[in-house]
Amino acid sequence: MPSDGEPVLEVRGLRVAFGDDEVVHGVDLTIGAGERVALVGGSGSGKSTTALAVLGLLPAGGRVTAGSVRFRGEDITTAGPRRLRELRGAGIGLVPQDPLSGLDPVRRVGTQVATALRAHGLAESRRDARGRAVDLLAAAGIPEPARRAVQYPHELSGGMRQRVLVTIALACRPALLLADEPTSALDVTVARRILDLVGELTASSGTSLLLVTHDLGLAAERADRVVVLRDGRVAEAGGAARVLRSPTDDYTRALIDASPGLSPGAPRAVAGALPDTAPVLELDGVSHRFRLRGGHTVHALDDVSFAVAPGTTTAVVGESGSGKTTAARIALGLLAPSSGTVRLDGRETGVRSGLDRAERRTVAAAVQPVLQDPFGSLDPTWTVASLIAEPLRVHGHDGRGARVAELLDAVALPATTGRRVPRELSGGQRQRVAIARALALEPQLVVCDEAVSALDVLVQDQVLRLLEDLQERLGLAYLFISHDLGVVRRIADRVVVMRSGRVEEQGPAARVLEAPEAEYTRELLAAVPGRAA
Amino acid sequence: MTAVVTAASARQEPRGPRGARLRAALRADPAGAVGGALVVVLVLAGVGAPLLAPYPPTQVHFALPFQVPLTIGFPLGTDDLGRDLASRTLYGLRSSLQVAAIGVAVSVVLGTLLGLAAGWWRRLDPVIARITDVMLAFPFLVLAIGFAAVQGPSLGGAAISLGLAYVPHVALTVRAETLRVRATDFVLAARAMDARAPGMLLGHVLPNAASTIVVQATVILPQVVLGEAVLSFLGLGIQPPGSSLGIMLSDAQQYLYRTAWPAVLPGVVLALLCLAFNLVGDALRDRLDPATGARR
Repeated sequence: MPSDGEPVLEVRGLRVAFGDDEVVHGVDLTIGAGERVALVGGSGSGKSTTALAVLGLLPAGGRVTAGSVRFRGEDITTAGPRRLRELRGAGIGLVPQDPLSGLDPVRRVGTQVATALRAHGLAESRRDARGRAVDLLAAAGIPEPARRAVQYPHELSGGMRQRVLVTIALACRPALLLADEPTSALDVTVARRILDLVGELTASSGTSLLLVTHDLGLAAERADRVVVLRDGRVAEAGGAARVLRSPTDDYTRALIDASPGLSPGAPRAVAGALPDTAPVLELDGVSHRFRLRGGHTVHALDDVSFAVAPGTTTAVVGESGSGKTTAARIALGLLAPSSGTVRLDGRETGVRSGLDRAERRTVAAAVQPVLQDPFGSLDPTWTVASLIAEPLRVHGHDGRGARVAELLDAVALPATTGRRVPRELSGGQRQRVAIARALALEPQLVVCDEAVSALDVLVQDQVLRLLEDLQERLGLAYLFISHDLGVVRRIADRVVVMRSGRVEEQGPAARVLEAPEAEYTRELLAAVPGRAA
Repeated sequence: MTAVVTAASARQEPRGPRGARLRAALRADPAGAVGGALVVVLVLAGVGAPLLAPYPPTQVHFALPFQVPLTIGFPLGTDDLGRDLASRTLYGLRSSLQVAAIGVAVSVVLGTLLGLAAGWWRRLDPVIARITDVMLAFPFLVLAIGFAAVQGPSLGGAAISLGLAYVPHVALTVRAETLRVRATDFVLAARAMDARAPGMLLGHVLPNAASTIVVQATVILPQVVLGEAVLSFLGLGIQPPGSSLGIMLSDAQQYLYRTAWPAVLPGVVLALLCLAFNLVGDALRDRLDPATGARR
């Protein structure tokens, strides 16, 4: 154990380079015993690279070129692989980002916890290790730990898997726990519980915490001190409350302003005239059932009704499994509802395959999607110009070149972007291309399925601004599917809260977000990080 | 996340003049570069056989059988009928490459069509799966014998039966790629704009499966070359006096106790040809196939 006053981790002037490109330019970071420090920054800020360098786990091609990383006074940048292996796990525990790939899919979770214990000689026998593993799983709040311990990762939910990963990271009572975006793949309410768990366990064992996150709200809520990184340099460091209240750096200020959780603002005021206008899209008593093998049916949607008025945004909020993506597919006409009706502009459409070609074209032109993954939604083998022209080509429009230039301009991308391929663009630029493609057919309604949730806050802010601007200029209606209430508060006129395929609550954004009626909505609202700070 | 982004940018192709890029590629994968150079040399030798060969491949010199290499007039010696080994090997290489080109074309074209159809249309999948199962169960020799029985043994027949034998391999890989691409968001977006299936298959699926297909082709190619040698050796492929590496081996076998040269030459060329394509295939897989490691 470190003596009083000696920091657990001390990083001095750390520089990391990949090949000839330096990506971390002299980062200083100190973590005292039992202290919780958050490392915050957008993508490309060097936060993950710094964290990996601390563990000696830089990906191939990366190396520490200068500076030192001292763990309890020992310089680990010069330590050999054997010493590093001893330190990892026993000295420094890691909670990785993705609970899906963080666990070995072919081994029982109890065995995986036991392996960590045995690797560091903390259990005498296999049986002993297995018993201890069950105790640890119980301490991590896993119900029926003995039964869960003999299950495989795919049998556990995302939150449960992350609990197992936390258990493994803390199994050998490390002096430092390194959590790299531990909750970004989880639903908000689950994320909150995981962070509570990490907080409790580290506090009770006196473990220091290094939390790597892009979410300043979450950082401020969960850490004593915040270190803001920008382009591989420390932009600002200080007490969490101080940094939030009076940031000295412009970048920090921009992060705070862009974070929907930290600077909520008022929900959009709804024009009283809304109900009078005929909706663009109307789902009326729509249900969708999947039949599973063995005759079970799953209600992905159960008697769901909502509408989107022209020129407004209706947000559908819910956690994974709530049926919000199914609702989006039905709105796009790609999935047939099992019962109920879908009306577009007052006309009943149902599923597209039931329509003749001309009608299908009309529906396709009227409703277009912007999807979540800015990497997966653009064909990597196409240029930006051909991607944006794709809907025009499919619909046989002429003058595509001019229209593409117009669309690039509308989403504030330079005309030269047209010749590039998606790989050369940033996440935000890609999402702009996806928006341009969705706008090509001049739709009335754009279905945004988690369209900004893969972007970091600053980029998210820009894309949201673009969406707002386009709505105003083109009179677009949005069906905005999201799990992030902070974002929804900013963009939505109406909010539909969904859970397990049912509508829990719906109404004007101001009413639902300020005075929620359903218990579930209140729970969701409470889980938004940064509200407490 | 950050680390992924920076690592990817660090892995980007070095920029600069072509020479520098080539040198970088050579440093990164010397085995692949050697393979590539061998492929170029062998293909040029095969294509240029009529120009390079000192004699026609069938011209006999009954007075000079079994000459050893470096004999004046016959740089690589002669065989049992006094035919120039250098000329026969060059022409043999030429026909091996012809068979390889036809065989790979047959397997890639048919396999890709079947794979795309099976991956895209769920209803066709079980039908195509049964067809490929049946084809996998057929040894290509049986197929080739059948072909030879109907058509008479020939270069074309051997090439087509070898190509057919590898259709299932291509079909299975292309089917898997099609399933992968079909589930992507960009295909979903294309569906949402009411794109037709042929457009999506040609526009999205095929370009994204191309690298896998190319790698698969380089794996199949040396197997087809060997297959041709086997068929010709058994008398089911190219017919004497025409030359092929397999026929040369078959002819040389009878006189192996007298001299090994007529067998060594075609054997070495055959081995080099397979080695070269295997090396290139490995290099391409490393560079193109995301499944066996990160793109470099």
